[in-house]
Amino acid sequence: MARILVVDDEKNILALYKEELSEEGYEVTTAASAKEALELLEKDNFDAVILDIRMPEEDGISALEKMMVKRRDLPVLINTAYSTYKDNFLTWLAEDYIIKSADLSELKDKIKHILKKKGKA
Amino acid sequence: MNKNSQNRKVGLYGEIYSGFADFLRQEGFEPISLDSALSSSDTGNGTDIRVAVVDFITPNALAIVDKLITLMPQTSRILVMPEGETISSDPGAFALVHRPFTSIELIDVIRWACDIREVETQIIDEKKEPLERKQLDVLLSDTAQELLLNSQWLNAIFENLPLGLLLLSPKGEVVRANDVLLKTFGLNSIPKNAKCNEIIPWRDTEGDECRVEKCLSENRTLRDVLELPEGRFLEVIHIPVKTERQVSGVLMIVKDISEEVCISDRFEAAAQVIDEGIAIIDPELNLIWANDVLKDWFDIPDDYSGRPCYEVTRGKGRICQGCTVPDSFADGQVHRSYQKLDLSIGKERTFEVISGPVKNNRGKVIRVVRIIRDVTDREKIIQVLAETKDRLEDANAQLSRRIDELAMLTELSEALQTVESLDENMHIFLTAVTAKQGCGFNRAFLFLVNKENKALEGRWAIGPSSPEEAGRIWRELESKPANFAEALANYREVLKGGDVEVNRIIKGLKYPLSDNSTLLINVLDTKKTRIIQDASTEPGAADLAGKIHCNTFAVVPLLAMGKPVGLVVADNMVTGSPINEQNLRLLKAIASHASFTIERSLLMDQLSENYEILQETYDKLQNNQELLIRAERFSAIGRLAAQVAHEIRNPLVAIGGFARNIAKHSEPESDIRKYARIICEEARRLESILQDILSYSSFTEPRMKPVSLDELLETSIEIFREETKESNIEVITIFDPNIDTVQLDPDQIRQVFLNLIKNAVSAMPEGGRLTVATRKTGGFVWVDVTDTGKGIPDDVKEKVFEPFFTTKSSGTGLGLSICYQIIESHGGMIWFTTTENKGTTFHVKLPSGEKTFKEE
Repeated sequence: MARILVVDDEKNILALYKEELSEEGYEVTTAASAKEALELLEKDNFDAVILDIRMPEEDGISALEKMMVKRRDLPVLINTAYSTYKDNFLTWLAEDYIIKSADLSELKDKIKHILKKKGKA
Repeated sequence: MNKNSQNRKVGLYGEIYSGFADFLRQEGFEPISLDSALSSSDTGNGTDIRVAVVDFITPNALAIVDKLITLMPQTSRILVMPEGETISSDPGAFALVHRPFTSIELIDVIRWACDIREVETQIIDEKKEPLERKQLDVLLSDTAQELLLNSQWLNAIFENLPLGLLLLSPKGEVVRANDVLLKTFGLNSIPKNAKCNEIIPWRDTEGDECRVEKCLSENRTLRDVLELPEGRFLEVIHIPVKTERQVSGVLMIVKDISEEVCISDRFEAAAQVIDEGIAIIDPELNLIWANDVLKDWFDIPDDYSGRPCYEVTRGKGRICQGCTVPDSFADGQVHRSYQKLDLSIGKERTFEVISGPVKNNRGKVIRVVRIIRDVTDREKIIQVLAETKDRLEDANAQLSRRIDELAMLTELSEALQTVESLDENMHIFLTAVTAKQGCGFNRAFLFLVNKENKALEGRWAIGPSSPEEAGRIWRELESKPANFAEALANYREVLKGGDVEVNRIIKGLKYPLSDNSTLLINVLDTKKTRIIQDASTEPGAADLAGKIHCNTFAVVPLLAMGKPVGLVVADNMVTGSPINEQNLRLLKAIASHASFTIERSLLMDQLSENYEILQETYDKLQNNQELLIRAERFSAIGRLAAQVAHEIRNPLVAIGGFARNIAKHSEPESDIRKYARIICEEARRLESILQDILSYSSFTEPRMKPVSLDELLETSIEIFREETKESNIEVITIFDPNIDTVQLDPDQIRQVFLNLIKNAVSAMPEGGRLTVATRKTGGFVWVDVTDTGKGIPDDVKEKVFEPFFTTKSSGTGLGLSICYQIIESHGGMIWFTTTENKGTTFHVKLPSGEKTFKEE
C-alpha cells in the first residue's frame, strides 16, 4: 500500500484529504506544519507528498527545497490555494502542481499517475 | 598923358551907383551916373568916361550896352551879371563880373580897366600907328579877363582859406582882414586904419617888440604861439610881403591850434596809460621819448633823452640784433617782429615789437615810433586755442567716424536679426567686413570650430578671386551709393557666382585644434586679435598665407559665451591697402555682432535638442506613470486577491470536499445527496470566481535581502547532482572570492539559476561540462552559466525570452521569460551567447546592491 504524506495547516483540509485518499486505498499520514512534515520524512519512508505552500512559520517552498535536497526522487505534489506559486521555480522541483479544489478527482488522478510513474502504484 | 591919367571917370548904370559911388570916390575915382551921361551924349558930355559899369539887375541894361557901344566906343564896359548868367551880344566888353563879388574885387577890375586904357592911349601916342580898333579890343579884353580871373582867385583864396589872414601896412595898420580872422577874434568888422596890436591881444611879455617891425627889419617869417585866456592856442605867423623895389606890408596868418595842442597832450596821456611800451627814436637811434611802461620794463634811467636806445634799454654798446628800427628809417614801412626777452616783469616773455615810421611833409622818415607789446599771455592763449581747435577737430572727426560706424553696426544688427539661418547671417557678416560702408576689406574668410572633428574649419568666404573681378565689383558697387542695408542687397547681387574661388580656398582650410603652433589655433587659444603684416616672418602663418595668397591680413576671434567658436580672417589682397587700427576696431565690432549671432544660433540648436530630449523624457514619464498606476493597482488587487483566495479557498475546499464526500456516501436520489450536490455546485462556482480573481495576481515584486550568492548557487547545483551524474556532466564552479552577499530576492533568483542549470543539464544528454562562474565589476556581480551542448539554433535565438515559447515537448515555455522578468525587476540584465554544437552561455548581471540597493 502506497504511503502518502499530506501537509497542510488547515485541519479541515487534512481531514478531508485523509478521508478521501484513504477511500482510494492509500495509507495517509497528515502533518499540520512543514516542520512536522520534515520530521515525519526523517522517520518514515513516504511514496508521495501532498504539500501546501502557504503555511505559518515555515512555508511549503522552503519545506520542498529541504525535501529535494534530502530526497530528490521524492514525488511532491504541490497543492495550494495560490496559483501564484506556479511561477516559483522551486515549485518546479515538485513533481506536479495543483490548485486546491473541492473536486479532488484531479488530485487523485495525479497521485495515481505519480505513483504509477515511480512504480509504486 | 597927365590929362589921361587924371581921368578916372567911372560911369555907373543902375542901382549899383547908389551903393558904390562913395566907395569909388574913396579910392580916388570919379563916379558918374550913366543915366544922365547918356541922355546928354550929344553934347559930348560923356565921351571922356573911362569905364562904364552896367548892372544887369537893372531893367534895360541891354539897351544901355547898345547905346554905349554906339555912342561911347572908347569907354571900357564892365558888365555885372547875376550869378551863372552870361551875355553874347557884347563880345567887346572889358570884363564880366559875376555876383557875388566884393567891393574890392570890383574896384580892382575898374582900376585895371583904367590903367589898360592909359597904356593903350600911350601906345597909340608913341607909335603914332594906331592899332586896328578891333585888334586892340581883343588884346585888351584878353588881358583884362586874365587879370580879373587872378584877382578873383586871390580873393577866393583870401576869403576861403581856413586860416585867419590879415594884411598889414609897413606901419602895422590893417589893410585887409578875412572873415576867418574876424571870427577867430570875435569881431564883426575892423575899423579903418586900426593897428594890428589893437586886434590881437598880445600879452605884455610878448608884445614888447612889434612883430611887424621885426618881420620887416629882419626880412623873415616869424612864428609865435599865442595862448588866449580862454585856453585856446593860436599860431601867429608874420610873413614879409615885398614887391620888386619896396616892402609893401606884412601878411599875418593866424591859425587856431588848440586842437593840435590838445591832441598832443592827449597822445602823451594815452601813451602813458596804455599797457604797451612806447618809444620815439631818432635817425641816430637815440631814444627821444619813452613812456613809463617802457621805462619800467627796461629800467630806463631818467636822463635817457638823446642817448642811444640800445644803451639805455639793454645796456649794450651797439645796436641789438634783429632791430627793425633802421629798416623803418630806410624803407618807411611798418615792421613787426617777435622777441623773447627776460625783463623785470618776468623771464622768457614774448613781445611783439612794432616799428612805425613818422614822416615829415616831404616823406622823409624823421622818427620811428616803437611799440612794444607783451603778448606772452596772448601767445599762450593762441597756442592753447590752436591746440584745443586741433583736438576738437580731431574729436569731431572721430565722432563722425563713430557715428558712421554706429549707423553701420545698427544696420548690420538689424540685418542680422531679420534672417534666421546661420548661413545667411554669416554671409551678411562677411559682407559687412568687405563692404565699402563696412570695414572695406577686400576679402573675408570665416572659420568655425567643429567640435566633433576637433578642428577649425573654413566655412564661408567673400571676395573677388582676381583683380579684374574686384574692379568689376568695386565699380558696380561704386555706382550704387547706398546705405548699408541696400549695400547688402546689392552686394549679394554683384557677388553672385563671383566668389567661387574664395569658396574653394576656404573649403580646403582645416586645422586640428590640438595643433597650437599654427597661427589660427593660437589666436583661438589666446582669444586675441592679430594683425599679421608679414606672414613670412610670423610663426605658424605660412600655411594660411600660402593658401589665401596674401601675406598681410587681420585675424579676429569670434567668442560665444566667452569661448572661441571661430574666427575671421580679412585681407586687402587686391588693393594691397595697409590694415590700420580703425579697420581693425570696426572689424572687431562687427565680429562681436557675428559672435552674438553664432552664440544665438548655437543656443537655439542646443535648446531645440534639449527640447526634444525633454519631450521624449516627458513622454516616457507619462507612460511610466500610467504603467506605475496600473502596476500599483494590479499589485494591490493581486495582494488582496491572493489573501482572499487563501482565506476563502481553504474553507471552500473543505466545504466543497466534504459536500462531495457526503454526496458520494448518501443514498442516491435522496435529498441529502441532492443538497450536497447543490453545495458542491456552489463551491465550484465560488472556486471559479476565485480563479478569475487570482489570475489578476501576477508576478510579485522582489523582496530584497542580503544573500550569499555562493551558497545560493551551490544549493541550486546540488539539486541537480543526480541528473549531472546520470548524464555524465562535469560541474565546475569558479566563484569570485570578493563577492560576499548580494541584495536580492533569494526565492526569485534561485528560480532563475535552477532554470538556467536545468536548461544546461537538459542540453547535454550525452554528457559535457557545466561551468558556473561569478565575478564582480563596479557595482555589479556577473554569473555565467555555460554548457557544452548543441547550442541554440539561429531561428529561435530571438524567441528565447518570449513567454510560452518552448522547444521541449513538456513545459510551459514560461521559464526563461520569467527569468528575464525577475532579473529585470532586480535592475539587472540577462542575455546569452551561443555557438552551434559548441555550447551556450547565459550571462546574468545584477546590481551588487552593496551601497545603492536598500532593503524594502
